[in-house]
Amino acid sequence: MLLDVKQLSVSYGGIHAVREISFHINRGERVTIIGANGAGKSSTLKALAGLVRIEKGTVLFNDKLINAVPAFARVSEGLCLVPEGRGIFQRMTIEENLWMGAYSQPNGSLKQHLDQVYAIFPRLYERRLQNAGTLSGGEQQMLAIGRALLSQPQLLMLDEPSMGLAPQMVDHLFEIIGRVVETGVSLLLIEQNAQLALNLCDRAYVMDTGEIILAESAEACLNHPLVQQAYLG
Amino acid sequence: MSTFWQQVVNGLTLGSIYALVALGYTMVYGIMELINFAHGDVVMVGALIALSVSELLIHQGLSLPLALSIAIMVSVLVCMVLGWTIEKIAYRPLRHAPKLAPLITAIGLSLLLQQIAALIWGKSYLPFSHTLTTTSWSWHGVVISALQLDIFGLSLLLMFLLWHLVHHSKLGRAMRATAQSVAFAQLMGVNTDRVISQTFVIGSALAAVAGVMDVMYYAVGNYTMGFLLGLKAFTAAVLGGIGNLKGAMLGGLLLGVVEALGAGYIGDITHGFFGSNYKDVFAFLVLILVLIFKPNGLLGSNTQEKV
Repeated sequence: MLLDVKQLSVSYGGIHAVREISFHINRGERVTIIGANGAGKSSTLKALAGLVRIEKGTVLFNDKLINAVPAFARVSEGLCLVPEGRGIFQRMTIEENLWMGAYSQPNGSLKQHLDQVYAIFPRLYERRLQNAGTLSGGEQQMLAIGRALLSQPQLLMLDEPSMGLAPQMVDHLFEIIGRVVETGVSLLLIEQNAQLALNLCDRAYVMDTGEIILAESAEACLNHPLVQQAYLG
Repeated sequence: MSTFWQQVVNGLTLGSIYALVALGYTMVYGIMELINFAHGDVVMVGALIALSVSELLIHQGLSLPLALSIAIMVSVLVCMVLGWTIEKIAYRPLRHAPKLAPLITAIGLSLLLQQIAALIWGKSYLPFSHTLTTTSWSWHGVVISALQLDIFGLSLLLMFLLWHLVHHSKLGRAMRATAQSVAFAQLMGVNTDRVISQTFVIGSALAAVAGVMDVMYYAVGNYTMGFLLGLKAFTAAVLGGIGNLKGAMLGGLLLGVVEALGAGYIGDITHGFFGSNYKDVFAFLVLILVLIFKPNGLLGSNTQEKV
């Protein structure tokens, strides 16, 4: 098991964003968490990445307890979060952003890994010396994902990658995410567009007001009355 | 016209000292939006240590250039440790506190450093009694001393090195990333606490060099010298656009020149009513004008480059 979360709780200033949820991700698996706004999905990812404190519960990553590991050190453990809004360094060039992705990696193989990312995202190569702030929303999301790959993650966590993108761009993006996970990296995806997420992933958890209310295979979820009614409309 | 150019030369010398100190303010502001008002006092500590160490070594029979070189190194090292300590004990515990708390801490720290310095070095003005060099060049009535050239040249070199560090090194990228977002930088694997420490250490090293330059240039040091120097350097940082490296360099040089020209001409303009002892007024006149007409500074804008 790559990630094993037990009884995880997260609070912000008295509000229980996540209440004692348990879930897991196997190696190579693609898992999505779907749910309405404010269901606690982003808080869960932030807690896994170390950006918010884990109030209760345990997070095992590669059988190692990482509750107390600071956010920056979780990156070299193989956990990588692309946050909501992408987290691009707007005033750095595209290539510098990519170098930041490889920050926790030894320098030796950087060039080769950079070339691999440029091969997936040729557009980034064309504009590598421009400020990242000049990229469109879709291109910034590509950059965020390419940058995340440079940290050689075992688990890639994406928070709302389709947010604010035109439908065509979303399709293109998900095609690329699909190709990325083919390489063997495990995926934990949060996505407003439940249809897209369920089509891409193997398994799904449905969250509501901080709790997991359904855990099913993606296929079963697509046909589940609760999901159809609430999230597939 | 020779008065004008003479004052420009003097101003650039002075301004390059301001610029080095302003860089420390602007780097810390860029990375954590804190005005480190104790920064001027780090300059003072650097200056007084260099003064004591060089006097001691010269007394031991070392040659002046050798004694000075060692003194600069000692003072840079001590200030680096001091900067690291200041961040660790005074600012880090307040990382998530409201902005006012670290600001008040900074002022308290400034007073603390001054009082410690007063205990160690006393409150009187300490002379630097050794003549550095008498070499100077004259060109159409404008005199440039070797010391002025040394100060200006070393400042430019340090600014160039800092620029290179920030823009072309892994640490520099981490600094810029942290300045843009601490959380995003952590998601890249950057130990942001360490990067902030390193920023303080680098700023303090520049402050130490500036302190040594100041004490050599004016041949005197005192436990309060960091206050005015710090305030002027802060003005320079604001003038260039706080948080902006180029701005701090430009602002420092510009402020130095404005101050020198002001000191040179104030007597003529006011028919002797004010003398050059009013030179300090110009820095603050500049500060007020900047805050009124260009509050973001000359190079500052909403998309300013921080660190």
